[in-house]
Amino acid sequence: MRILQTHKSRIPDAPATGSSINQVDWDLLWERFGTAVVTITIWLIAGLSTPRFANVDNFVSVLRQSAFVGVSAVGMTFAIIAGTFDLSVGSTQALCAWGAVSVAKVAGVFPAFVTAVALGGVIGLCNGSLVALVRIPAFIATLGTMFLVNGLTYILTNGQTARFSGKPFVWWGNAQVMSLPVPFVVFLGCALLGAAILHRTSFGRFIYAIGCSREAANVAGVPVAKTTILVFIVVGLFTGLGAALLGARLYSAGPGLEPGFELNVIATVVLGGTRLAGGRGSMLGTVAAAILFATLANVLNLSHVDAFVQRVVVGFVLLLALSVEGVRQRLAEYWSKRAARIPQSSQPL
Amino acid sequence: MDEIQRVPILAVQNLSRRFPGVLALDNVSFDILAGEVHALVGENGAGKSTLIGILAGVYQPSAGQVLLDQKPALFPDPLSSQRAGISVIFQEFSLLPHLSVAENVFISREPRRGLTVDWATMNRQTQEILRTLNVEIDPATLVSELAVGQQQLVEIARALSAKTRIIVMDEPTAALNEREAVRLLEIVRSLAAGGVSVLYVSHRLEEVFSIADRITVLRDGRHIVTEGRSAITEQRVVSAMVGRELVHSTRPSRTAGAIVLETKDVTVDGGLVRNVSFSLRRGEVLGLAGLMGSGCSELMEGLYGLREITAGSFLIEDRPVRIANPRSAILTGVGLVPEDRKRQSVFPDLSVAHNLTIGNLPRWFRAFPGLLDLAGERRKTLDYKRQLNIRFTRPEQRISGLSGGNQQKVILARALAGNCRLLLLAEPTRGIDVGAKAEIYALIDRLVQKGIAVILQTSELPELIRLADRCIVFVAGEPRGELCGAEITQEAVMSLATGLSHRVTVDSASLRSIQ
Repeated sequence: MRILQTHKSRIPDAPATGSSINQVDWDLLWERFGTAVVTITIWLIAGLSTPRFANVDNFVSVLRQSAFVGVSAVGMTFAIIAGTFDLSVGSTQALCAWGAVSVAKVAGVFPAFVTAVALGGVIGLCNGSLVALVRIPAFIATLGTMFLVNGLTYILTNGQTARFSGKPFVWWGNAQVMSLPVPFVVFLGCALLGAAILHRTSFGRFIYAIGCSREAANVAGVPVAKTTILVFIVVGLFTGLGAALLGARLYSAGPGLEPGFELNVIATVVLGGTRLAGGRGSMLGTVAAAILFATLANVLNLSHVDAFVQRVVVGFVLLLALSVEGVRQRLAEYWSKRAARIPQSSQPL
Repeated sequence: MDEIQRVPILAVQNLSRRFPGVLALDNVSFDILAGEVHALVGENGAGKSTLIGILAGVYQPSAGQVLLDQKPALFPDPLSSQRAGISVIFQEFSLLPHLSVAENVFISREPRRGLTVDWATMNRQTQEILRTLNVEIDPATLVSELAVGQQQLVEIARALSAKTRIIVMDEPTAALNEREAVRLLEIVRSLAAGGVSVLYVSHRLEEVFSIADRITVLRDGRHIVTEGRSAITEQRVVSAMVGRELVHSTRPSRTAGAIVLETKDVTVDGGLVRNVSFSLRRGEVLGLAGLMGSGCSELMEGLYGLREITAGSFLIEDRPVRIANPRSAILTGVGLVPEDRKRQSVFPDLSVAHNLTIGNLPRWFRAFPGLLDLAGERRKTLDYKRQLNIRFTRPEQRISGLSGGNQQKVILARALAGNCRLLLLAEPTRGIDVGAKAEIYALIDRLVQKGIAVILQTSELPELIRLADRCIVFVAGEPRGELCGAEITQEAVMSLATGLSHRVTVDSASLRSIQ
């Protein structure tokens, strides 16, 4: 009986007994820092086991690779904390990257980035309006824009890839500052900005509130529709920025740039500890998860693991990470049911 | 009726059920005879729902037992209760709206021909059952196309098709209009005549007295009385229902100030609530009372912008206002403590501080960079912690770790942080233990003394008497009468609300009809 009670008091969100107040909130700690801890652990293991992993050039390469998914994942973190998501980021990325490369060719670096970011913002506005005003479920709305934008990109490009290798433009994808790759520096900047918005502005608070409970948010006076539209715009803006960086990295962009990109982005955010149902999550987790995925791909490449097997490994890691939470919840449920049944079984029949 | 030949088909013996902090059922025993209509009455919180839950297999008893055919029976889950021949028709129907009547009646028990559903047989059998109920509904109709009253008949048909011997009906007429209600009562009578036992749970004494063979009254989880209909008067049932000890502290005398809110002929959502006119002064508590479905909650939601006010005028401090949504309510100086804490007010994953300030974030803005002043927010949260005596350790702590009473205090602080002039309290102490309740009453007294005007919607009569200076009683969406000060007694309110007003000896001058 005593053993059962200790288990019961560990269940999160159990009716307050006062004892939980002084305990360390392992849940919260794991949610905030879990992915970072796992990432560093993998670095240590990879560094010891794979000699070619632990050198500066390789680190630079891993960090650079993490940025292209990462910048978009910063935006997606907003969406998933708000309890929604955006499937159109893959199509958006291709269109924005193509726009950036094409504009860079004729007008220079700054207009190129503005074009990419603005295109992303407009697509986000469409998504947001469809979800918040027309009230189409996010899955359907963003699936629709995914096809629409993808088709539009093929029409605009005629299926051709745009190419441009002007120095000032490709600098953004390939150069280093203070021995860090430029895209990674931009990614870190985005993540810091995102964290500041999430934690220090009322917009950020509204996002957490809506993700936690839409109805309670509405009753509390949160502008639910406006916030939702803004969230999708934010996703679009960051995706546009990430797309421009990728275009600069590759000297080129066209339709079908990175198949399955949207799922990589969502997987990154979820692996970073952000709850798919909304209401919980952090930028640090997203950064750590982006680096973790890039590290994984890098280590597997260095170990000459077949590309198809790599996808199996990535899927496996994702399932493993997500089942930790599910298994813990099931255990908690089981113990609370056990505990609830005790008085009944001890009753005389 | 020959009672001697009839045997109890179902009996509960010394049944108790404890929830954290509450003894919802306390040693209750009574029985139901074969072919009997047995009415179960009691106020909200008397333990009726818990008892129904145990019979339905939703809750397990903490002590005592249920006897079926005089043998102990256990219902660890809803399926085992159904297999034992008990059908529970809850207030909220469990029909699937997008399926046909026949599919709903035979759900999960569809007659089969090989691997496929035998539609012809299913429709024919449904038709037969509906005919025994004297109902003309095409079995192929979608449930969503039926009126509420017809949907209830489908629920009953489902119960009959499952060879049910005991039907439990929870407030079956709450959602019905008068004609549908009369029809339902006829059907209940004919079911009983056909040998089915009915446990009829209702607030409405008129109905209860028109169909019940015996009446059982619960109060505060305890069994008060079980009597044959002819052996008990309506007066005795009412006093058995409400005769609990009153809450000890009493309402302080208050002096009302200037008029804060005035409504004239307000209609909510095109007729859910109609013809509401009242005025409310600073430092006054106006109570709204009524049974479930009487329109009190809808009126509260209308005042806060969660429902549309479709007609009538609404003045705050003599200025006409339009409250389109909660945001504009807060800006106009109206605060709400919502009825359903879990669904409408608490963000379980967010911290105490975030829960407290979410309604008024602009107040925590720093002037220049547009960033939240986290230190100021923390100070403010600790401020409210002291003022309202909220028990938590850190403002950053998750609110789900707090007790219900302390969560409710945080929600109250959220409403107060908006500097409201008018505070709407919907069931402010629902699911809160006795100690915290008394604290919240004292808090409300203090706020009112400071000049806030309060509208209180509550289904707990002692709470109404303890807090309200005046009280409007609603029946079916319309105000039925207004009571003032000492006129607010449990008997007077219940009589108005259950429609027994003409039988009750309340001084007629004290019943001011509103219309």
